[in-house]
Formats: sequence, structure tokens, C-alpha cells
Amino acid sequence: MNGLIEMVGLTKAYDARHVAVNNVTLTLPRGRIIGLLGPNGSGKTTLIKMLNGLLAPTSGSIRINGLPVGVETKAHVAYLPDRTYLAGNERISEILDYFCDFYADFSREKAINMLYSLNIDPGTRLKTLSKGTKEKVQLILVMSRNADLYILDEPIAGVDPAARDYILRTIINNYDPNATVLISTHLITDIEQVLDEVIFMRYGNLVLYTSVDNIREQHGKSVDAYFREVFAC
Amino acid sequence: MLGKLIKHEWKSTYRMGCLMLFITLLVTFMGWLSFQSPMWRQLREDSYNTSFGPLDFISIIVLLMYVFMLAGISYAILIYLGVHFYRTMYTDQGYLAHTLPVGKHQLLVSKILVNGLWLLIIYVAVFLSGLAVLGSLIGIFLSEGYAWVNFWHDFLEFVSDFAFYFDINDKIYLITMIFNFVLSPFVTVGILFGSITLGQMFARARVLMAILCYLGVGILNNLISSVVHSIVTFSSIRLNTAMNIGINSSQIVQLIAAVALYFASYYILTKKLNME
Amino acid sequence: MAWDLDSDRPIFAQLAERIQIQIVSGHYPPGGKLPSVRELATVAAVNPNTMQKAFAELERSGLIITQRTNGRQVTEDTELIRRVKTMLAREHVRVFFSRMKELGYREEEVVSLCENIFEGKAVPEGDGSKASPEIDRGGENYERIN
Repeated sequence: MNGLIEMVGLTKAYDARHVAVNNVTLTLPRGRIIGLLGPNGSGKTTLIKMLNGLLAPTSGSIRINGLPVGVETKAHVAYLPDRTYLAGNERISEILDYFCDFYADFSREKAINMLYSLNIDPGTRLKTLSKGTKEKVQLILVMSRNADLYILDEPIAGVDPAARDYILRTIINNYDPNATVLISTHLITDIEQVLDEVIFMRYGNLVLYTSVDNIREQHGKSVDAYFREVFAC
Repeated sequence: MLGKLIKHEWKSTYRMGCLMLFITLLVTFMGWLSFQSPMWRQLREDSYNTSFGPLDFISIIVLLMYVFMLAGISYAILIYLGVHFYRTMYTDQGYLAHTLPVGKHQLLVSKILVNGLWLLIIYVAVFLSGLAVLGSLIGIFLSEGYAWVNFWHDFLEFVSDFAFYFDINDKIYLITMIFNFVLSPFVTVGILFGSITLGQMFARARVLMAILCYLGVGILNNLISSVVHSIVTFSSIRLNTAMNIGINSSQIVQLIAAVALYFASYYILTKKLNME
Repeated sequence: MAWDLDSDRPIFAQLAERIQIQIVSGHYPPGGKLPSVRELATVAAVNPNTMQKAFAELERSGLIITQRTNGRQVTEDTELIRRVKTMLAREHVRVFFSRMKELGYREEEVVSLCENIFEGKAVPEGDGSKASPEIDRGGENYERIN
């Protein structure tokens, strides 16, 4: 078992003309913070949804910790979707109960501390939360787990700079040499110095998988500048 | 994990369920009220000389409203459960449900058990409401009043008279009748949820497709059971044989449909899930 | 506060330089304990692996010593620290002179300009006198500010 995630020939075609992810073969190791970068519609979210079992691949295979996506992998993958799943009349504390019940690696104490540090009252009802606060709560739910793989889909899009700094600091603070964090984003500058490695995707194809320092050494420019060069129209 | 799923499913549905029960109670009061107008008592005393006043007119309207609302409640709960299932499984909230480390069987079973139980509770409430309102009417017509303590005894007597008339075994008939009553909400919910899941197989208009699936199952069910019914009627099978089995063809067809849809749902959730 | 980093050079090299300056300036005194990788990574808002790489770089140069029990500390070899400090200072001066050359100064002119500024004499064009008395203290100055 070498990599944490092993994708082989992974393909998702919605129909004959629309191939969202095309034949991606990629092995991602443990202990890294990896950026999944690409313009809108490059297949980042589709790839992430397949890793989380929300989409069935058209062909190819995924193994996480050597296992196909299923109950066992979901217990060790913490996923922040690009949308808010928090709705209804429950209080935040009840959603914490929910996570305690289903995820053995969830730390309620950690979640409460993070809520207080962001001035969010655990007694608040979900439906009264603003969109931004819901996103923060979801991030807290994810980062309060002691998972093997964290998958964050656009965690810093649409949050204010203070929250963005908090998110990046939380990711760094949570760093665990046995766990990997996969972050999809199109805001590269903000996140570049947090990343070990980057994956470039375009039109569903894997363009590049390398380390941030490699890009800087070989091309003498930031990942953001290099990204613009690669994806220039 | 199944226990936890059931617990949380119950937590997220009990508010609406309790609200429905409360509404049923209010509606029942309405039904009772409709029999309190002077007309009904006069009918008992002298059915040829009953005056029909404006209060009586209102009471008839209230009675009609009662019947419609009672029927409305049994549909409303079904619609609510369907929408709740759809929202928690196939909208943004489904991102939580489908990334839980639980098996798809457990997920489906927990949903069907809890939601079926709610449907059963509401059906029982609606049944009791009808019984209570009907009872209040009977109470008016029986001058000495009706002793409700005798109800169960009288009911059994009615069943055994019925059984005697059709030459069937009354105990088996009663047991299967209750069994069907208890089972049918779960079967209904199974078909409903299965149809919603089947709708997810389509690229567009998934909700519409889900509704069409549900109606399709209903039509198919009617079709098959009427065919079976006519076979039974026109064949040499005596009516009492069919009734002795204690279940009618429509329920068998529904059960088969529910089981088939359950496994289709399981297959879709494990192999074909396509969250938008 | 996150550290400002250039976008065109490897991040680990820039981190190593930052820490190197903090060591030679005495912010981290000889033999003193260094923060953990995670702490420093959080302060700088950079990837812990990158910070680790920067530390490894400094270990290779001997400025940092890793002890299994005590974590990381600055070397007690003050001679080495001074050598590095001198090397960095030379580099700064070299850059300074080449910049002045671009402005058309000859070396003697540059030196006399510096002397004028340090002695508080009026300098034609521009007034550097306010900042000047502090400049020559160099290293000790760093210590106090930090």
C-alpha cells in the first residue's frame, strides 16, 4: 500500500459529449497538503464527488487506504462539499451530536472550541445562520475529525479575508503526517504557500502533478503565475 | 449504526408528525361539532318533521370539511414524507446522508421504518377519528347511548357474522386484516421512496420522473390487480377461497412492487448514484 | 501575521533565509530553543512540510541542531553564527554598491556619502539624517526591535 489515494483510469462521462473527468490515473501520498487546481468546469468537483461516493465513476477505479469507496473509506474521509447541507430547525449542538454518533474520529471538544473562537454560539438554529456562518460551521465539522483524508471543495471561495486566514491556519494547525488534505480552489495566490503539491486539471484531463517548490525552481515563478501561463487562452 | 440512523430520522420527522396528529385532533373536534346542530336530534325524534335551519346548513358544511380534511391529512403526510426523503437524500442535504459511514441497506431501512411508522400512526389516528365521529352520531341515535366498553366485543361479533355470511375463517380474516393494515404504510412508503430514487436515474426533471414513476406503479398495480380480480371472479375459484387467504391481489402486487423497488434503490445507491 | 514571501523563488529557501536572519540578529540567541515546525508554520502561514524543509536546510549549514529530547535549538557555535552574519552583511553591501553604481556613483563617492550621512551632516538632495544615527548599530539593534 503506497499511496493514500490511488486512482486508475478514472472516468466520468455524463453523456457521450460531456466527459467531466477523463482517464485520470494518479496516486496521492500521505502527509501532504495538495491543491487541486483548474478553471471552472475542469472536473475538480466531479473528481471529488467520486472520491466521496456521491458519483459513480463511468469507468476506472478508486482506492483509498487500499479500499474501494464505501462505508469503510467514508469513516476515514472528512469532506467539505462546495454547498451547504445544513438546513432545518436543528441547533448546531444537535448536528455535533449527529457527527459524534456517526464518526468515531469526531472530537466534540475540538468543534466547540473552534465554534467559540469564531464567536458562533452552539445553541443557534441552523436555519437562522447566514450562508457564510454555515460554511464556517461545516468547515469546523470537517476539521474536528481526525481523518486520514480531508477533502475540501472550494473552502475559501466567498469568505472574508479574516475567515480565509482562519481556515488556512486551521488547516496548518491540523497538519498530521499520516493524513492528506486535498483542497480544490481557483484562488491559487491565497493558498499557494500552504500547499506541498499541486494538481492541474483542464477539461477533465490531468495536466500536471508536481510540488510547489518544483514549479518555483524550474520555472522561476509562482504556481499562480505558472497556472496562468499553462491555462492562457 | 441502524439504531442511530433510526434515532436521527425520528428526530428530524417527529415535529411534522406531531403537528399532523394535532391537526387530526382539531379536525376530529370539527367532526364532532358538526353533529351538535339541532337537526340531528330532531331526526332521531321525528324524521318526518325536521326543520333545516342555517345552523344545520353550517353543520353540513363543517361535516363535509371534516371528511375532506381527514382525507387531506392522509395525503399530506404522504407528500410530506416524500418531500422529506427527497430533500434529505437527493438535494444538498443528501451530501451529508451519502457520505456517512453507513451501509445503503441501513440507510434505506431506517428511512422506511421510521417514515412507515409515521404513516401508520397517522392512519391509525385518522381511523380513530372516523370511529369517534361516527360513534358520536351513533350515540345521538341510540337513545340509551352507546356503551363503548362493548365496542371490541361488538366488533368481533360483526366480523364473525361477516365471516359466517361469506363462509370464511373469521380469526384468520381478522389477523390478516390487521396485518395488512400495519404492513401497508411501510409498503406505501417503500414504493414512494423507491420511485423517488428511480427518478434519480434521469439526467433531467428528476422530481417529475419520480412522480411519474410513483403514478406508474399505481396504475400498474390497478391493472394487474383488476386482471387478477377478474380471473378470480370468472374462474371456478370460489370467493371464499380468495378471502380465506385473507389478502387481496392488490396488496400482493404492491408488496412485490415495494420489494422490487427496494432492491432497485439499493442498486442505484451503491452503483449508480449521481448527486447533482 | 503571515510572512511576506516572494512569488518567484522556492518557499523553503525564503523561509530558511528568514530564520537565518533571526538567528544572526540574535532574535534566537545561540543555544536558544526554536519553536516547533508546526508553531512556526502557523505563524508564517505556510505548509509545515515546507517549514520542515527550511529547517533541514539550516541544519545542513550547522546553524540549527536537532536534539532528540529537546527539539531544535540554535547552535552554540558563536563563531559560525558570526561567519554567517558577516557573509550576509557582505552580500548586502555588495548589492548596495552595485545599486549605487547603477545610479552613477563611484566607490569613493559612495563611501563619503555614507560618512556624511552617519555624521549627521547635511546631505544635498534628500534628508537621511533622521534615520542615520541608528543604522551603524546593526545587529544589536535587531535584538531590541525583535
